[in-house]
Amino acid sequence: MQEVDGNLAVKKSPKELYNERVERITTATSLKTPDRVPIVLGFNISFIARYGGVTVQELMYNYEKRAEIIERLMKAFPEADAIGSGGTLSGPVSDALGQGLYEIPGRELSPDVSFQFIERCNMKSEEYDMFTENPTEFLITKYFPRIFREEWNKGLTRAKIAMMKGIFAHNDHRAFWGNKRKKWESEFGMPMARSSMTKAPFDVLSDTLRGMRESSIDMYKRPEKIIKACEALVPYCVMYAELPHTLRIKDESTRKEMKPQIGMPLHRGCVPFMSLKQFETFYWPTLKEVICRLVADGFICRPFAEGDWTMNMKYWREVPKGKVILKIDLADIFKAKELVGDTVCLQGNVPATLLQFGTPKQVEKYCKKLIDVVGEGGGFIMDGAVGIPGGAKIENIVAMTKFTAKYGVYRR
Amino acid sequence: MSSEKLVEALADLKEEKALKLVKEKLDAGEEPLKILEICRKAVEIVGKRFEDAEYFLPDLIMAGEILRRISEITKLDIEKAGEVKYLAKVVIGTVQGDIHNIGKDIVTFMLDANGFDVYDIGVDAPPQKFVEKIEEVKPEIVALSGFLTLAYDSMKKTVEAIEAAGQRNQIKIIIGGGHIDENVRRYTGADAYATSAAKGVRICKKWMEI
Repeated sequence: MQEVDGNLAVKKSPKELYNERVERITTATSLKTPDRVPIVLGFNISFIARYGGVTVQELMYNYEKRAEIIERLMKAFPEADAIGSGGTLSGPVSDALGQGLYEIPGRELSPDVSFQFIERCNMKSEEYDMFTENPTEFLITKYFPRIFREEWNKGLTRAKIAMMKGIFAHNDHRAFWGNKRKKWESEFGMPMARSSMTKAPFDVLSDTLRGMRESSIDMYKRPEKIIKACEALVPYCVMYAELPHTLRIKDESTRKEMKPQIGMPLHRGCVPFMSLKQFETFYWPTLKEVICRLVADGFICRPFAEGDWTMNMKYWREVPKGKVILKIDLADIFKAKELVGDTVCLQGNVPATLLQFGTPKQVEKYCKKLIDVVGEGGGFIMDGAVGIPGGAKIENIVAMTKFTAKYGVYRR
Repeated sequence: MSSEKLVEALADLKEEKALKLVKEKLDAGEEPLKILEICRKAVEIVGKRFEDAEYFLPDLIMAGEILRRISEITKLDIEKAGEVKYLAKVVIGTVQGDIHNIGKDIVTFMLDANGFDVYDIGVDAPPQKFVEKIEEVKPEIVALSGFLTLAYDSMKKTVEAIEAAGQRNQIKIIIGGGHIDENVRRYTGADAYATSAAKGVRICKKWMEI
């Protein structure tokens, strides 16, 4: 792929750039009007691989390579105010534990595609009560032995060593990216879009514990058990998001702080994955609870409304004002502005197909409409609908960023 | 005993009631095949309710679960039983490199509910697997599913393989998934695209009128 040199006209120090970018995003998040529409580029791992001329498989193992390509992308698109570094599994962690939740590139899948989730039931219907009473015990004694190929439940030395190897690999992985994050903030003035993640309790239950089929049948056969299990998951979902922050050693070089954004990919809540009644019963109450608790603890939540959330949009009026960034995929973002624009900041949604198959002119036209309508009065962040997908044309990303940086300026 | 009660119980997803009625019918000497005909009627209603946004994915899955249990009792495969007259044959699969099955499964259910004879070749299906299945069952329609954006290239390769095998003129190809539009249709060389199961079924039905 052709390399881009995106040189900025005005030279600013990394510190100035960092402060400016943080200010822009923070202002938009709190539903006010920044100096211009902020731009977030959530690079998919397949895009990073293609830009760097390597496979996704290599990027799972070669952290340095991935970091180096990301730095080239920061230079190529300096108008970005925050970037996503392409979430993927760590190869070493995955291998050490023998994880069996995902098919991974170079193994089950071809080397150049992203890892993908394996739909499967990992918790029996009669195990609901055990899970609800003590989730930790269930996870360790029942769930882990089912999802990790190393057989924990047999008390084998080999399995214990696998666990230790997994923890070491995980710490390496965290330390590496933690250091890169600091370096990018201080040398490039570039914030990272996401600081940690969590999920909706129902998605945890449906994705990884019961599976799509079983959790659907449970809605008919044991609705109370779903509700109780989701309630038991709330503190875990909060902890999963917060733990990386309580562990991070505070950087005292007092810059402007960007409140940590918790990414929350939402999988199975929107129509047609369930009806609005099912949503109100099984999905929304505990998701809202997780969001409210995280906001109360000082975090910004950034749920990704994957799929078409148009029918479910009105519920977002119920979350704390100015503390949630709702990433829009296929939902009608213009209607969303009307419905929930005074409560949540909207991020999105240049379509993946437009970035891959469209022309720069078409991309600019879509961005103009986003800025004119969704950007009105602030509370909007420009991004791709699914971030920047693997097939996105460089000239289209250039069009998106340059146009937004110029046309997206708010008149004072 | 009238069959309406069973149709209603199944269409309303009342599992125990439906199973009880099936057992009663069997005890009364009803032909299992007749029971399956009644089930098909209920499946049509379930499909219609999904199209009308009255039913959603969990409801389709629950309907599938009740049918599975009826199959167990009657010891017959509902999908392929009886002298059902099909509108057309459809070969469906999620294209190579993509292992997402949910969208494909919804479309399969809906096509089945609308009278199509559906052959599902699963996920991560290489072009050659489509070609072989087309050779085997001679379908009128081929449906390519894909959730990830990488599926665009796999869909294109699949259409090309179908063309290279000399099968393109005998079939209509439809592609489907979340991030699919006219641009993707043109890129892949398919005949049509759909972003929802209901739209996909409408297109297939329209093709069969001609």
